[in-house]
Amino acid sequence: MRKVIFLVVAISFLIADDDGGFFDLFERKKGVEPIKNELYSNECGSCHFAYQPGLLPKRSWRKMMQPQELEDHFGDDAWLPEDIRLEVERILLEKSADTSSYKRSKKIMASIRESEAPLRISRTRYLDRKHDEIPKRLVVQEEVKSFSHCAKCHTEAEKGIYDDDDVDIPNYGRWDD
Amino acid sequence: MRNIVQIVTALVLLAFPLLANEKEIEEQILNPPASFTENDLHQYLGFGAVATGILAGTLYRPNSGTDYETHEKMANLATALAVGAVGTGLYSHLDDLNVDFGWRDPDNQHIFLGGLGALLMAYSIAEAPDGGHADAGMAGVGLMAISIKLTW
Ligand code: HEC
Ligand code: HEC
Repeated sequence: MRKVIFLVVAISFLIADDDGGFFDLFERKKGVEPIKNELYSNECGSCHFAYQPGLLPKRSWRKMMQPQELEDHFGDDAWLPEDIRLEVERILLEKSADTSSYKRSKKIMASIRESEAPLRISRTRYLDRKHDEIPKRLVVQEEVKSFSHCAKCHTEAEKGIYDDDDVDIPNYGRWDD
Repeated sequence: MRNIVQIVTALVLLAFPLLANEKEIEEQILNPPASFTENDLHQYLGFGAVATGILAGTLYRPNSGTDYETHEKMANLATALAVGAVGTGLYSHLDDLNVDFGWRDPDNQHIFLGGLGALLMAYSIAEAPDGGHADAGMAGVGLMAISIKLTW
C-alpha cells in the first residue's frame, strides 16, 4: 500500500509541471519551444535567425515590438505595418519565456531580474555565463559576426535545441568542454 | 557465409559515395558527430540508478521467495550508479549551478534533488536490513526520478 501511495505521489509530481497530460511526461523539454510560423519566420527571420519566443519574457517582446523601437531595432529599421506588427507581437507573447515549461526558457527567466526587460537574449546573465569561455575571435569572425547569430554555432537551434553537444563553431569545429 | 559478408561489405563501400554527397562526407570527416558525450554518460547513470532502484524495491517481497541477496546487490548497484550520476554531474555540469539564480532555476532544483536522492539511497543501504531503510530508499529513488524529469 505504501508503495502505491508513493508511486501516485511521484507520478503526480512528474505530471504536475506540464499542460498536455500523460504523454507530455516523455516529451523532452530541455530546450526552448520550437516555432513553426511562416509569418514570423518571414518577418523576423530575414536579417537573423528567427529567435524562438521562449528566449525572452513578455515584457521584453512588448518593448521590442513598440513601433518606435522597431524603427530603430539595434540600429536597423525593422518597421512593420500595424496589422502584421500586432500579429507578430501576439505570436511572441503567446509562447514567451515566462509562460514556457521548457528548461532553457526557465533558465533565462531565473537569470533576469523582475525589473529588467532585456532586448538582447545573448546578454542575459544565463547566456553571458554560458558563453564566457568562447574566444572572441571565433565570435567576431566573418562566418559568425556576433552572439546574436545562434544558428551559426548551434546546429540544432532551429529546433529549439541549444545543447552544448550540438555546438559546431565555424573554423573551429565541435565544442568539447 | 564469409563470402556473403565480403560481398555485402564491398557493395556498401561501393555505394557509399552515391549515398552521401561529397560535401557531406567532408563534413563527416572534419566534424564527426559527437558520439558518446559526458552528458550522455551522466544521463545513463541517472536512468540506471532509477531503473535498478525501482527493481530493487519492487522485485523484493520479504516473504515471497525472492532472495534478500539479490535485493541487496541490486540496491548496491543502484546506489553506485546514483553516486556515479552525481559525480559526473558535478564534474561536467557544475557551471549550471547558479546559486544567485535561486530556486526557480531548474538546474539548481535538479542538482539539489538529485544529490539528496543519492544521499538517501546511500543512507538506505547503510541502514539495511533494519526497518525504515525501505522508506529512505524509495524516497531516494523518487527524488532522483523527479530530478531527471525537471531537466528532461
Ligand atoms: C532589418 C533587419 C532585421 C529585421 C527584419 C529584424 N531584426 Fe532583429 N536584429 C537585427 C540586427 C542587426 C540585430 C543585432 C544583431 C547583432 O548585434 O549582431 C538584431 C537583434 C535582434 C535581437 C537580439 C539578439 C541577441 O543578440 O540576443 C532580437 C531578440 C531580435 N533581433 C528580434 C527580432 C524580431 C522579433 C524581429 C521581427 C519583428 C526582428 N528581430 C527583425 C536586424 C533585424
Ligand atoms: C560563436 C558561437 C556561438 C553563438 C553565436 C551562440 N552560441 Fe550558445 N554556445 C556556444 C558554445 C561553444 C556553448 C557551450 C559553452 C560551454 O559549455 O562551455 C554554448 C552554450 C549555449 C547554451 C547552454 C548549452 C548547455 O548545454 O548548457 C545555450 C542555452 C546557448 N548557448 C544559447 C545560445 C543562443 C540563444 C544564442 C543566440 C542568441 C547562442 N547560444 C549563440 C556557442 C555559441
